[in-house]
Amino acid sequence: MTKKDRQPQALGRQAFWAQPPALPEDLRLTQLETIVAPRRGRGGEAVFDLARLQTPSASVVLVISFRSPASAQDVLTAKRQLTTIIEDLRLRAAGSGRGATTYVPTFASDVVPKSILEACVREGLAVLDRRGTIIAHQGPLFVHVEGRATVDRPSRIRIFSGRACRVVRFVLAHPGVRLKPQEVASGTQTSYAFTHGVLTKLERNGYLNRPSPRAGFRLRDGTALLRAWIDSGERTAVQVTPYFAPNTRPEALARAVASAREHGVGSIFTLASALEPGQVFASGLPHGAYVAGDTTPFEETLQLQRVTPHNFWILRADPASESTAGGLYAFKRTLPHGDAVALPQLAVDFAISGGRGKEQADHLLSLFAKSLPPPELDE
Amino acid sequence: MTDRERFEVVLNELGFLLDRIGDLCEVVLIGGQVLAVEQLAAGEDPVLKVETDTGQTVERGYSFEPDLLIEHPDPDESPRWDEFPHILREAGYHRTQRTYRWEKEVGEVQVLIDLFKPHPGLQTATEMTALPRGETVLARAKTVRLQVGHRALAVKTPSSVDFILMKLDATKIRRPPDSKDAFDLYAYVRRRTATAVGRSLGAAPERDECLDRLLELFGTGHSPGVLDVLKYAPTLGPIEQELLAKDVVTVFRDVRAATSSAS
Repeated sequence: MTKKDRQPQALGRQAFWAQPPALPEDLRLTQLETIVAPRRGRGGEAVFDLARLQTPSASVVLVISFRSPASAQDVLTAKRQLTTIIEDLRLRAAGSGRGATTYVPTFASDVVPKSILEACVREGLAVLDRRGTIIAHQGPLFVHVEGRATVDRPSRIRIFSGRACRVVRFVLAHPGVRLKPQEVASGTQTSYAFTHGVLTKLERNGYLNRPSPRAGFRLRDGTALLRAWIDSGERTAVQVTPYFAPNTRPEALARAVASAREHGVGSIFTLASALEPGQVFASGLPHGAYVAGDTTPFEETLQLQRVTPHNFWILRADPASESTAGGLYAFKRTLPHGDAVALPQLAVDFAISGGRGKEQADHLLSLFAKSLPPPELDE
Repeated sequence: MTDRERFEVVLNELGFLLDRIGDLCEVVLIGGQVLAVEQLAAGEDPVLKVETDTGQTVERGYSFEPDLLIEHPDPDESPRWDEFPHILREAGYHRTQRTYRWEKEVGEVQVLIDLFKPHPGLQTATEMTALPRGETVLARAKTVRLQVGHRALAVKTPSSVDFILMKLDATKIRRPPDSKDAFDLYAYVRRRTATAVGRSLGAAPERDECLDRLLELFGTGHSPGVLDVLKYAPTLGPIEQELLAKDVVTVFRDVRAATSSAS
């Protein structure tokens, strides 16, 4: 897949009219005008489009309400609003003495699922979508075309935060392995449907691939995926408490972990405390640890003080990341002084740490790129 | 291994390399490591703790990758110019994917050096990045002497004016933009004092250019350079950030005042 292919397809009402759906040759759809009607509630107005639909035997005007993504409730709301708009159009036409026009209430979306389509037919609405669907069973018309074109539906999933990021961590931790969605769902303790949604989004963006829809997903461009995670600016920590630590040598860090463990507090190192000697690229980087619970053992053992310079950070992970299932604790590395977050997580943490952290993150990204297995060749 | 120990390994390697280069060409250490070397030469920790008058301290780290500006050799010596990559290889370095960067593993330390040449038209035996004003930097460089372990090291570093000009240039040309150049400028002035830097600028032909650009970057609390400095202190609270921003503006206002009185 080229970089160009990764551009998300433009969706929404404006994109619909900028590039109308491909219809059979003998049907012609022409946008006529737009009606903006005031309404109560958020936004305070609703937009409708009038479009002429010409068939070999008839010409009608579709009054179109565009909703994306579409829900069954939208169908009922659209029907009520379209009835009012069409009533108004008829009254105006009668007042101006123009000939009778056939107005057809129409529901349009980027993709109209089967259930919504049936609801529209049941409620007497015509249907249009970007896959090429056009269904109109009103007045002099009987048009029934179910489109099959592919449309990338917008996804609301933020892939680098919350549970979705567990899937990202899992995928980055298994380069070179074909992963079934069920396997990833079990490994990250997320539902199959959610996991599949994240994986297909990653596939659409070119980070994963699979030889066929039934085959497992494989990391195709791990470097780009980690770069995208870094650039997203999404933070794994919901809270950062900065301190000055007089001693950040490995022995002191090991004592802090041992003390936290004695008190039943989970922790994992990040930032400079999580760097292996050969990974260090810059100096003056802050040390840090994700601590799940009471921070007192760390504060006391490392003699942390709330003064500058802030060279030791205690981070609180967001609950979705504080997990052994695709979370921070799932893919840890063992260092002499304690467990540390995986390389991709470390790069992301550095990137948002300010100062020279960005340079260190870039260096870790290049180390991660070097560690990736060679691509899988076709037979 | 501490950052200081690691830096000493890098400097030791640099000394070893400079010995091998010998009289082939002049080499000037440029970039963020200049401050660290000056700190070390003064017997201080290479990580500079930049402290404001109101007590906020921000640590200024540096990368372990020396940036070296290589002088064009004397025309009589030009055939020896081809020796440069061989010297690097003999010293244990190998070229990385970024062809201007050479790498060497020394124990657990990865030593990376980036090579720069003084002007774009110069044909070099190995890839180097052209440095704007490189010729002037070479001409005005000064020698810093320091002891690293058992090795007495003499490293050429840019003059105050050239350090500031290089950093000012970098804020314009570096892509993607990086906040480190503005922070390095602030740290440099804080270390050398506004008066000393102002005096150096006052005597330099590039004085007006420097002052205009410094004003653009650090004129007010919302100027781009000040905002870049604040990126180095993400953990400070809003009031402390405000105090830091004020300190940055004050420091550069003092530089302008010192420059005016010097010229």
